[in-house]
Amino acid sequence: MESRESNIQELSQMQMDEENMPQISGVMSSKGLAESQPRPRQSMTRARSALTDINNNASILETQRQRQSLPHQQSQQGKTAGQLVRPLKIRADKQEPEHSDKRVSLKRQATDSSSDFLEQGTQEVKKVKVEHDYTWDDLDADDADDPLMVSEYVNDIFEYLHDLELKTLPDPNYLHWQRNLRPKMRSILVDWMVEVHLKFRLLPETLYLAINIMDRFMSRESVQVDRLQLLATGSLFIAAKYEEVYSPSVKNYAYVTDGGFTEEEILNAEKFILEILQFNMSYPNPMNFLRRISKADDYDVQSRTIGKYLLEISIIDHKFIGYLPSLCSAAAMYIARKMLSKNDWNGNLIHYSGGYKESDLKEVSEMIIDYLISPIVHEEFFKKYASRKFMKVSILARQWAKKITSEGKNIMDPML
Amino acid sequence: MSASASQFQQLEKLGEGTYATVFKGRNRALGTFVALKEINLDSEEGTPSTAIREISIMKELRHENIITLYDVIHTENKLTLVFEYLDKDLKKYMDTNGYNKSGALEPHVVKSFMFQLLRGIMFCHDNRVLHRDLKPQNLLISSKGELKLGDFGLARAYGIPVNTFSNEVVTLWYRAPDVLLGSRSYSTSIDMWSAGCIMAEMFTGKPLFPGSSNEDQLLKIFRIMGTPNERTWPGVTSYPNYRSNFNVFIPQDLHTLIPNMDSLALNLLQGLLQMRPELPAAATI
Repeated sequence: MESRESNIQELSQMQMDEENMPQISGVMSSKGLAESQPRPRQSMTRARSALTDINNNASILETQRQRQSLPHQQSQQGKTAGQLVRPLKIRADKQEPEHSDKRVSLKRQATDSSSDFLEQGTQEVKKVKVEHDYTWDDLDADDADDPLMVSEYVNDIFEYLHDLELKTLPDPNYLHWQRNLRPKMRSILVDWMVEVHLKFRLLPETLYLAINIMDRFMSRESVQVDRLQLLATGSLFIAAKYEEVYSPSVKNYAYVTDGGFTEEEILNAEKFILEILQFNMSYPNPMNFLRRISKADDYDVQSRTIGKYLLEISIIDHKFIGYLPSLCSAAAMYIARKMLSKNDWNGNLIHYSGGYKESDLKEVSEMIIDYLISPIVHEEFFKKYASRKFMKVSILARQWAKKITSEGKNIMDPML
Repeated sequence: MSASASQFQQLEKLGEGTYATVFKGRNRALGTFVALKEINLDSEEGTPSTAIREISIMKELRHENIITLYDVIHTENKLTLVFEYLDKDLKKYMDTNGYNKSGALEPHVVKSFMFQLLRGIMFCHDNRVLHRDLKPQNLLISSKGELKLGDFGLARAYGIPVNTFSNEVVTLWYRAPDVLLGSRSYSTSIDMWSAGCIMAEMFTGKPLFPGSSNEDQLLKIFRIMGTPNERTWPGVTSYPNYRSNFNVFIPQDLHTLIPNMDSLALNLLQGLLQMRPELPAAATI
């Protein structure tokens, strides 16, 4: 606990990236995410008022109109075609946001014909053996004497996790219909979460869950801009309680907001987030998928470390919202292996990734490469993986991606 | 789906735990009984992690051998979980239904309860959940002889490989030896050990290892199962709580201790009561 205390003290120097602030201050009303000057407290008696814009109902129509005219909407057309009206309906129903058809199809292609049946909702077909055009080895048999690998249950568990990932997918469009939000704001938030998560020495699973909680919340509720950091803090607070053996006290969270929010506000936020998400924390952590693929890669520590960094990009960068964690994990390992000149994506890798063939990985792999060759926007995230502990993988991956891009190569080229 | 507290009439208290009180309740509209688990939210740290896990996990686990969570009522300073109500727990059932007031159950009843217990455990493990607090008080018995797993307050979803967790889990008498020895990297075997202890208790009416402290618990286990050493359990000496001066016992014959088991029952019990965490039978039926 003592080392944790001193870490938190270091956090007192921490500020939201001030240089980024002016770029978004125009849309952030008068209060920035990082503002530390005193501001009038809102009444916190109702948890709801802590996070949401209560005037939002009146603006639904307006939001719909905006949605069709937002400039960045156009660039997303390919990804979101045909679903422009969906978020409204979802919000009216108060249902968990559903994955888009596009996302489903990505998974479906990967898991062959059995999945087509699944999509029609026929339960019994689940057990039908499907003829695959690839072969794999039963690598679980080797784990029979290792109780931590739960080899008796592993297949059932992954089948279940693949079901769950569809149910806990955030709405890929929320950044468009949330009239107050811009991708840049989420960007600042997640980078700050990475920093707090690192300082608190939390498990990798906790960061993934926290960002999933935040994304699912924003898929359903409007958030005032000056409450975004409170949402991020509450999400991390809940995720740590769910995942960690010893989770940090609420005091520590209040501290890292640098006076921005009181303990009471964080507790109210927690309550409200849990209520909106109906306590559903059953998000299948992407780390599970990554480790599963690593099994088919002889648990190579190098490719797995690179893979961890690349996979984390998929929760950091908003463009990946709505893509399945298992798909992002497969693409991360695909690229990681290519960086190490391991170009084959064999039957074992297909099988243990959840059925993703090379062609299924194209879209997400190219998105990851795009991220790597773009200027650094997530400083803390970059710094974390530039450390020796992570083999400086953020530096190496960016150099590598720039190199192959400058040579005119594509990540899908058979030999890199 | 969303209920309000006024829908239920609060009846007598059924039990009190560390972070919750359970009442019997009556649904005013339907007249049916429910169990109302009330969790105080006044704590300085807000919603207890146990409550977040319990609700999230119980909403996932829908199975005939697992108590159903009907609803969650979230008010300003209280969280009320509305559960399916069953007449009694296995402890009370044994007290009232055991033959000759011994608490021991007829072998065919043990067989049925064990089958249902293992089905419930298998469903948890298949859905990557460890219960971590199996004991007769947490197994509910209906008037029709159904057995259901309850109280998921210590339950946890696990990943693969299973992470290290707290070793302050499971009520002492039902706690597996590797956990008693200080292991924090346990997995599904932790529930299988408890199931074995429960099975023996159903046959005899008495807890198999009624220890009074961590140390005493280990000795009570060793007295029957034999004191482990590097030969019988490779790696045992590296556990944090291992001591080289443990009293040395030789393993006893379980059949002598519990004569009314048939050979199938004995096989099962031996499969469940394996001290080495890699050995217990999986709850596969």
